[in-house]
Amino acid sequence: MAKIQVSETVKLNLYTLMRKTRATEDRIVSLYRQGHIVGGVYTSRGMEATTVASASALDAEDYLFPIHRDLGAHIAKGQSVLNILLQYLGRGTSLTRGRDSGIHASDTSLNIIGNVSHLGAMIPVAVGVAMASKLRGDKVVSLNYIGEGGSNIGDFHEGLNFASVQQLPFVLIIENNQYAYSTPTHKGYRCEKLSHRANAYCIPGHFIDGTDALTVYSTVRSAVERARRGEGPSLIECRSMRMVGHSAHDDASYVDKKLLKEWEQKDPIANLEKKLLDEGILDRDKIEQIGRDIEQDIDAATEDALAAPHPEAGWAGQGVFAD
Amino acid sequence: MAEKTYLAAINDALREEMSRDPDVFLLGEDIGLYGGAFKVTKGLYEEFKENRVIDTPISESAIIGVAVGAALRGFRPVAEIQFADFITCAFNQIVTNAATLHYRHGIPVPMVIRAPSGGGIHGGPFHSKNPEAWFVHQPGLKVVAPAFPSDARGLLKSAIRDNNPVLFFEHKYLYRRIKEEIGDEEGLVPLGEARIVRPGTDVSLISYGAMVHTSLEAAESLAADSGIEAEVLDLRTLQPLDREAIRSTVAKTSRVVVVHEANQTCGIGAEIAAQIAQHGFEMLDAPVERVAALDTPTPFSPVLEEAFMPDAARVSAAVRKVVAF
Amino acid sequence: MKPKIDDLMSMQDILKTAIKREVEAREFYLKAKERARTPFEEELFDRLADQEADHRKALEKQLNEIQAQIETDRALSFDIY
Repeated sequence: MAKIQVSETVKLNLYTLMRKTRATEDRIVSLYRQGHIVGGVYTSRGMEATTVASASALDAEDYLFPIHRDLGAHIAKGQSVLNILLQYLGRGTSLTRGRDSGIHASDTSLNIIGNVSHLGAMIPVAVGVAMASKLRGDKVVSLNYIGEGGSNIGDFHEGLNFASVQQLPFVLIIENNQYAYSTPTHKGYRCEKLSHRANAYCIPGHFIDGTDALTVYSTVRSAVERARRGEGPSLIECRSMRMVGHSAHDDASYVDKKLLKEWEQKDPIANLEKKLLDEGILDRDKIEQIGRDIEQDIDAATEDALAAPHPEAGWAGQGVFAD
Repeated sequence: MAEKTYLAAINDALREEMSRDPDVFLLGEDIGLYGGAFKVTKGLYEEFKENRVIDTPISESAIIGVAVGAALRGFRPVAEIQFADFITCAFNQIVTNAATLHYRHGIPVPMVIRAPSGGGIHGGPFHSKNPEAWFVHQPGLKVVAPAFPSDARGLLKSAIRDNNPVLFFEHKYLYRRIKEEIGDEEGLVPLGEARIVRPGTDVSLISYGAMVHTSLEAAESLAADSGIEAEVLDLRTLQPLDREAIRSTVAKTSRVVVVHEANQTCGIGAEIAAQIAQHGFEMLDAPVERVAALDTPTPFSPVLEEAFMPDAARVSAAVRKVVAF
Repeated sequence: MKPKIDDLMSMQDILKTAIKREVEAREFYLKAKERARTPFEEELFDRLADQEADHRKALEKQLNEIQAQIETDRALSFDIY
């Protein structure tokens, strides 16, 4: 696998987008605690490199299939904080008109297809999008995610097998954050590395540090380019740690405290920041400016989103069928 | 004009739609080189080639999920489930993804799922099922069940052109047993429209699929033996139901027997009976009767299967009951 | 006892032969009608010819039923259960 060179622009972008992801999630959590947001809130502290860097490795025409913890992927593909907050607040002007929750939202202008709650159910659909690329003869690649827990569902096998038989431009990222709600990995599967499942489909499997944005970016970019060349699907396991509970109402008391302490050293944002400071791509002033810009963006979006109208009751019962 | 079997009419519809629209493609198990377990797709692989008639692995969930993905990119896939009984393996993809994507995210899913349903062929519990009620119950799906070759052809074409997921239950018992003269014209049959296949005055037999023919058989013998003129309404589409046609036939005869091959409890007959009770109570001269299969899985032994399934005698008995009320 | 596929295959042959005989019989009566000397005879041969046509239709229906069952059995056995 040829080493992908990551440009300075991309490095800076990855850093900015990861900070934006974390800041947006912090805002979402505080809106949730204030009672503005109802329902499920899933944050990804510690996983920002996996989501942001992978989605950044796509071109605009490629399709992104994020799942519930992949806000960073939505943001990296170009989704606005306003649209994200409108979704969480269930407003009538949200992407789904209030019909679907949180980041379960599609945006066809960005080629983002939102997920359903059934883990793994998007895999065959993402493979279908890649099938369309083959039938059409275009070079569009399809990227989907699954957690290490979700990877045990039947659709994981059916989807990957289908993609491998048809040699489709599909990339599947396993986000191994070591806990599926309260289930640790050794209760989910026997082998040490899920990336080895790639052997079952005779496709490349990679096991990488999911907290290292540059490694994630270059590995995914390489797989995407391979897919675009018509060489078929890849499986990439990104190991990280879920630093928060499964969702905003879960305190994760079941997680080994020592494990959390270990992984605190591997914060993706802190580590990339240090690297870019060393390389002279960042300095203290730039870091603070980036922070201010992000806060400004989020504040403006929060104001607009809170002021946006709720859906009208009369809209209920509509929209089931396309014309 | 040519005499076509129900099966040949489906084959024609697929060929005609694939010729007309390059975005239509087929996927399923054994449909390509082999021409399908029942030979419904015979000749299509040779004509349209590998990119449009795709032999898949045995993966019903992937077959449907892939169809959803292709549909959201503008294709019109027609997925085949080899026997309707196996549709349960794809249940989640159908009701979670295909059915809800437009409601939730405004993205149309123009796909068709074809499945040979029904029994009477000594197929046993897993080759005889009529699963339509499960899917009529899920908002976001259209469901079609033709009884005649011209309707099979016309409804399949309409289903393929529809911008929503449509379940097309073709009754396997009818494949080679029912023939009809079919012309060259396009012959589209709109979804949501029922058809009176036998006008009558004394009782309405509301049915679909193979049971339309059973109902006709009963109607003939009722007319000959007892002078009872039964009107037979072929629903053709189950979702959306043709409420006006149902209302109209009830208004005409005041007595209704719903006949379907699926199990009785919570079958389509239950929905129709409830709708009639709710909107047409004053028009009724007798309670709505249902003739349906027993509430068991389909038995294998021909003796048991015969006792399990509705037949003309049971339909006639139900008619006499409502007439005598 | 339900006949096996082999039995059904020869039943197809039997029915096909029987249908052929009915067609021939009908032709015989129609030919005889040409040589009829009275309207009574004409009508008689017509009726006989019609009967043969009815026999033929009944046999064709039986043949169709058997062929349909053979096709379905083939599809069922193809599908390994």
